Amino acid sequence: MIELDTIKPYFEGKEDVLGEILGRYPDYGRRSAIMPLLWEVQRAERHVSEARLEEIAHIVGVHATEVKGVMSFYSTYHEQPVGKYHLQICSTLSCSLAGSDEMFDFISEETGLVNGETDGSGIFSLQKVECLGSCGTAPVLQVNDTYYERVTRSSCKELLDALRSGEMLEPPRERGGDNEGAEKPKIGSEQRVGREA
Amino acid sequence: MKVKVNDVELDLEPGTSAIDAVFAAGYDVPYFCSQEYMSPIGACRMCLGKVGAPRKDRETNDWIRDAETGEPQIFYFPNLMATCTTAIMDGMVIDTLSKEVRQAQSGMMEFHLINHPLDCPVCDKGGACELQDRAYEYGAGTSRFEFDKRHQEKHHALSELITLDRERCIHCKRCVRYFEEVPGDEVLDFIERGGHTYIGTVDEGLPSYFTGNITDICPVGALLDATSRFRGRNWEYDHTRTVSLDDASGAAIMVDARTGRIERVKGARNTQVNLDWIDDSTRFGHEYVDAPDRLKTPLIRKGALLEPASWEEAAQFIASRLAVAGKRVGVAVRSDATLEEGVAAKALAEHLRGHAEHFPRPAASVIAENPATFTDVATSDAIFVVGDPTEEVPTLDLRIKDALRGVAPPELLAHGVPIADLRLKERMPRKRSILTVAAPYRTNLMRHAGQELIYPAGQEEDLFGGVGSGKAGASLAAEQLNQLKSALSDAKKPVIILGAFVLASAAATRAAEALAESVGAKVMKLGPMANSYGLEALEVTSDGGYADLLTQSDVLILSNLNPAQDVQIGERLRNLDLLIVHDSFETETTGLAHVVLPAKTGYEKEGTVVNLEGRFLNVYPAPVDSGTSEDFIGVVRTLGEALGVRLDGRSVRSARRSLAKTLNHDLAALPEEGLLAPVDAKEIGETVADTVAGNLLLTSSLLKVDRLRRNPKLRAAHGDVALRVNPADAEAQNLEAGANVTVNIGGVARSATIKITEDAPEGLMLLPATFDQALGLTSAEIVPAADLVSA
Amino acid sequence: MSVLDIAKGMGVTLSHLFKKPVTVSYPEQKVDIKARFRGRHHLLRHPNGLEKCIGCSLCAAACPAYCIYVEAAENDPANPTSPGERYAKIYEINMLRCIFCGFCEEACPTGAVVLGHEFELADFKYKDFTYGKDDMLVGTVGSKWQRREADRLEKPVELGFKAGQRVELEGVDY
Repeated sequence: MIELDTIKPYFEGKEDVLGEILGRYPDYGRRSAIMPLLWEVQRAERHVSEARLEEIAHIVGVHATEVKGVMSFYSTYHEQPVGKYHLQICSTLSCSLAGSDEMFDFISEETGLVNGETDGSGIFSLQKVECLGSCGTAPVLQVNDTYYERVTRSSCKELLDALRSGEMLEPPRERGGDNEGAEKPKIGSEQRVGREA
Repeated sequence: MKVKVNDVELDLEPGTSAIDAVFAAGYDVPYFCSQEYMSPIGACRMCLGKVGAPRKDRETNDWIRDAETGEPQIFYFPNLMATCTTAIMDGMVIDTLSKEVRQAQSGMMEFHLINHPLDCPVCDKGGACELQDRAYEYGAGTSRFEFDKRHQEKHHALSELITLDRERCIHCKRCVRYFEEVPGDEVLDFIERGGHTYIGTVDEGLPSYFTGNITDICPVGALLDATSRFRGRNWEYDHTRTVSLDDASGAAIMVDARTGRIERVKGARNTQVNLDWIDDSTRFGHEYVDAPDRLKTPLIRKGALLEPASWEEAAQFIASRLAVAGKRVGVAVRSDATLEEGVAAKALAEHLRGHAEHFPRPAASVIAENPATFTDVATSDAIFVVGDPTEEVPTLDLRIKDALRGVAPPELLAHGVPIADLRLKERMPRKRSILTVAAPYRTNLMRHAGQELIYPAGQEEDLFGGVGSGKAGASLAAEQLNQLKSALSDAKKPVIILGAFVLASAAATRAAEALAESVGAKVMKLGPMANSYGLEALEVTSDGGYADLLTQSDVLILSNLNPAQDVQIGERLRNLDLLIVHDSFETETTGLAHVVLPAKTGYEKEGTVVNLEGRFLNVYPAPVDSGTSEDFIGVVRTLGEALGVRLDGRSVRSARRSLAKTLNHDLAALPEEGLLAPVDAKEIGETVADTVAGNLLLTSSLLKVDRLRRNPKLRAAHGDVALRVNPADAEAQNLEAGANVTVNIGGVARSATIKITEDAPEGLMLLPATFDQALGLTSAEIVPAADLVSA
Repeated sequence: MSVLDIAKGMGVTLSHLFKKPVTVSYPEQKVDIKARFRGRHHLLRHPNGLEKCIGCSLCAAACPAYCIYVEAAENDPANPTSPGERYAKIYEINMLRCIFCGFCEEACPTGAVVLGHEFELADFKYKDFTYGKDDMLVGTVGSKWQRREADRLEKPVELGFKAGQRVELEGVDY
């Protein structure tokens, strides 16, 4: 079944989606469509396989290397299927100084995973990522699309336990921070496509 | 624009970069990411300088002046600037000597060295490494970084020819930019981000013909030539700057030899020809020179066997046989022989009352009436290519892509080529519309062309006739051809490039020249070999041509030619009174020869060649141990001694004396970029009856098929000789991809591997020709290799 | 000059008659040489048996007599000759040209080439003075001629000296 999926091009029969994405950019800027195309595939398949990567390169008319370069730049795109909860630990300077390495080691111990690995039951994936842009609230742990800031050993443990039981904890709001009173960003394809339409 | 660099005042053109101002003033700043022919991006931050400029008062429109001195006040940028991305301004002041600047540079150096391994003793770049040199000049000498360095893959084979050491990479992005900006094949990119960034590819084997250049421009030992890995240290090589004799472009190369062996070939700079770039075949195709079966001593036939002898014995033998042999003498040299060898061949033929000829020589003249130079191509606004320049003259492929960027080659400054040309940008839009490529099959260059015209092979005359008259021709629609004609007519500097298929037909060439005249275009003719132009200009030609020479001589003296690969010609050669073959390797023809003389390769000769622009370029010999091998000059010298005559061309000097009389140029020690002196065009020869039918097209090839067997590394990277077949034909003829077959073309049997590709048009197979096969349409028979074995 | 002065001088001479002689009756007797004496080169190995030499040619570059020739090659990862990627395939020193200045030893980044104490290098043919890796790697004792002679007589090589050990000559045992 999985094999069949990879053989059949993703955008086959999805000409409307493809046309909509490519239509956003002028002809000389066709390369710009790499990002939305990657996102489209990832949203549907939870990762972008090598075959999909080649397919996108072919659609946009560039070498596969370039798509890979774009894709690997953003930690939001995955080459391997990720688990239900994708734990991303910022490892850049501020978080590193604030103890993200210790947090990584802790999570690694708790989940038994190494960097870039997904556990057998497909619940957790663990990844060290570059700056998540929340240096003021280091260390930061991103679970799927949600930021957990100023993570401590106990809050981390609490979060992992909750995730294990299938519950996604509401991240504690930062007092006085940028997140104060901010509406939680709505993420979901229906939302996005709806806006475009 | 007046600029002051430290204490030197300069007047430079607007648009010059600050780094060039610094170098023009005779000062120095370190840099790793800038490269003369690529866009400056300020990635390495090494070229920091303290930069400031005066400011004008908006109200008075006068300089804001210093209250005390009354001089315009200099406002410095708040931070040190990367001078490579800073354009000069009027009155700009650049400081590169202050303590602040030096400290910043040595600080950056320390950053660069943080993750760079202390590999220098085992690194092939050691001794010629920009990082090493600059660390010595600008580094602090110590590091305060006391943690573990980043560890990554040490030996990653990007392709068979290029090794990547990821630990050594300093992320200057030269290689990544090179692929995008120069050949336009983006096969290398940064993968990951931040501290994890590395250079990588997912296009296996770097599918490009110009990959080797990244090893030249890598400022550290990250990208290295895998073929010369660990062969020697940079200070041990004997560097010889010479000219590549692989194609007609005359690209400058640096041949590095050690203990009599060529270990590597690098690109050298010729600002008028190849800039810094050479193709992979030129770079990696030198292995054959040291092949173990190289002929190193003359051989004389004694009965059925060829036995080693000295040059004197061979010359005596030839002299005694000449006395009793028939009188019809033919002398033929391959078209990559130098002008001096041409003089020698002519003098020998004249003395023996015979004819001299060079081969391969197309039906039409390779000397154009209104010749275009590479610079003309690179600055042209309408280019019409008929042929496949990527395979015929790879340098031209890159210069055409220069024209698509629309940036003229830079003007030289006091220190040479500007280090940072601010007109060049990353990912510049390409003016594809100016390029039209026509060929009988899909060529590599068509990927970059605005218009591609695929016409039936052999109909070049109709194609040019169609463009000229605006009527449909060569199976192409009239509107396509009309559009092309108006593009050429409207352009200010149109150039028409005529490849091998056009030159193979005198009528087509005449039609092309007529078109060029009507639209006012310059013409570039792609001669088949390195000195086709020069040998034709020197008139090393005979009326009957090479074919007549082979069939109507009693005595044949052949240099580097192998006509006997055609068994029918071989039968004819068997009955000659005397066959003397001068070659570097044993061939079918040496097997029939009475005397075999060992020949020098293009890397070992001294002389002069003329490239397709009409540019005279000196060729210098690299110190290669090739036994008693001689070039054709040596053959003529020894023969002359045996015959008791002093022939012109018995030495390079005597040949040059003779050349000075006919060409009016002193060819000793020409400038590095050569001497551009096109000779007058000649009458195009009589039309040879064109063969219009055939199922196989013999094409030019970047990979020299005659040498491929002795170039194992190049062969491993680019594969065997491929017979390209259209999928429909493959199915009809039941041919499988990757199968080995024998292709019978007349009396020549060639082995090839089937490659099924849409590039080949239906009903036409493509096979690269050997040096001795005339390009163009022919009929061939395909025999599966397995059948041969069973038979 | 008086007679007395002559007598004084003769006295010095005479006094030496009764001292122990400083000459050594080499080769019957072994010479005692200093630890830092510079004789024939040794190519050393790491304790794990891998060669220290990485074939970098820096010794050849430093050599004022141009007597060293190195040709490097790539290590077989499964069966390496030296640590890292590179090793010396050919390492030759022409002992006739060598002036035993020790610059090679100073230039060596891995401490692979060290000048030992052997000085009895006399031989009969020019070509026998070119010492290769086999002649210099640790474990080889004596000059080419000495080893040939020892082989013929089926005796161990007898060196004509004794010396204090140098720390740089790790693993060399005279």
